[in-house]
Amino acid sequence: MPALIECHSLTKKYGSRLALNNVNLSIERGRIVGLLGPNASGKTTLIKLINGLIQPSQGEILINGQEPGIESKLNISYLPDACFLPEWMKVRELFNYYSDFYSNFNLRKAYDMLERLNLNDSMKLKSMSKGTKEKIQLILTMSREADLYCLDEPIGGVDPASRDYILDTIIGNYNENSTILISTHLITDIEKILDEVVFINNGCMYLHKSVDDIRMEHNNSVDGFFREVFRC
Amino acid sequence: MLGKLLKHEFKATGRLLLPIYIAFIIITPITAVYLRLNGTSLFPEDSMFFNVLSGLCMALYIIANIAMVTASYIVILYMFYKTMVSKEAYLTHTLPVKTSSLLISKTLVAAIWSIIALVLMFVSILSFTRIIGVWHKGDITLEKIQIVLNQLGITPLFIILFILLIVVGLISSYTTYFTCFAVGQRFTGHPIAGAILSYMVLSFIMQIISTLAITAFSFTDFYDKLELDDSSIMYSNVPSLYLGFLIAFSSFLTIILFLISNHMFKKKLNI
Repeated sequence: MPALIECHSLTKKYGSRLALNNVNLSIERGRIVGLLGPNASGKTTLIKLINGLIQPSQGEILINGQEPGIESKLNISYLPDACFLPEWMKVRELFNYYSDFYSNFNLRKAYDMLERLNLNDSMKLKSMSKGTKEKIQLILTMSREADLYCLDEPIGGVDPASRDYILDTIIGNYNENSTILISTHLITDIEKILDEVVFINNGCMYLHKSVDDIRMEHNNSVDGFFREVFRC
Repeated sequence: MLGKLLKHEFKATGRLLLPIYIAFIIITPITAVYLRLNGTSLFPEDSMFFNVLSGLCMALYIIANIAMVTASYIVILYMFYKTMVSKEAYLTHTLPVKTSSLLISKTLVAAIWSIIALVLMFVSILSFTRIIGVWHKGDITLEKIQIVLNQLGITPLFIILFILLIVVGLISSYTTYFTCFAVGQRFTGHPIAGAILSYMVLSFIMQIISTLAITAFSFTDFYDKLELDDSSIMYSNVPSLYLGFLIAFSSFLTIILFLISNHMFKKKLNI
């Protein structure tokens, strides 16, 4: 069985600027992976490539052994770093939208998560606060029974209480056969849930190791090691 | 999946277009009835106020007609930009559907709304002119229409082809705009500027191609075969075959543009 994500000499250029440079990476199933790096290091570019939203300039990226396409889109649940849902829709309409297009969307799970937030499904997205919108986006993303969850900065810009809710939701809906790829630079908050990390800087992959290995080899937390590596 | 895409596209565009169409439907009888009653004891003609009001009513009705058709275009292009190029594109382009299905659903829905707008405008003008007394019951009958059409030399085939040309023209025009957005999204950070630039270039290219095609068509022996009838006006000399050529040519260009936009969104996506 091929790895869930395979990148071979993956390069992405925007004009003359190199966003990703010759990245080779293999991520297996059943892992929670932190995609870590400073701002503008190439994290979002890699996630967009995985989701087929941009195309490689060189090299290739394979999801379940295949190039991104209809099949991979069904098996990847993506949470972008911006509000990507139609703001005029009610929560109920968003749930119906996801049910219509994703055969793996678990409507019951979505309603359970909504109830825990004490929100009702007749609320319109545009009437919600930024934090609540992000929670709704997360509910939609995590209610899909996907092979891969790509979460781009899921805890960026929300208060610490909301961060806990988001991390609990991610862990609570984690399936041991699926992989979660979380991009962030708020390492302290997510370190406790990670199995492995990918460090990325200036478009180049710096390391790909398990969290346990980092702690043992460097006698440091992931956050501490990150600060050491990327010290300005 | 095409059915689901059509359903959601109708819903997304309908919430903006339906209120506009309903407002137009309400404006038609209100303005027409006022103009009909203008000059009666209710609204005396010698009153400056009522005269100004009747002028405003006429202007409002004309503006409403133009606004409805224009709004259809603006709403559809705005929704296309929002869902295919802007933030909502993250959702649209990660749906497990073919890019061609996305484009077909958007083009079909756009064309259907525009046809509804044109039909509404046609019915509204008929009703408006009837209410203000431009024509009366019995003035327009099927028989009279047939007589006029015969005098003009317009055949049923011509009418069918003319309607078909309008539909193909609408689809072609939306496909052109969508292709411009498809090319424009390649301009990282400036998709609208890219779309406008693409429109200028594409319009220029299409103008050249159309001129060449129509010139080539005129060099055929087609015009020699025309039976000119001095008693009929210009329309009788516009044969159905010429409309057929325009439909075929416009369809051909539309298919080429569709293939370009499909390629750009499928293989050159950059959002």
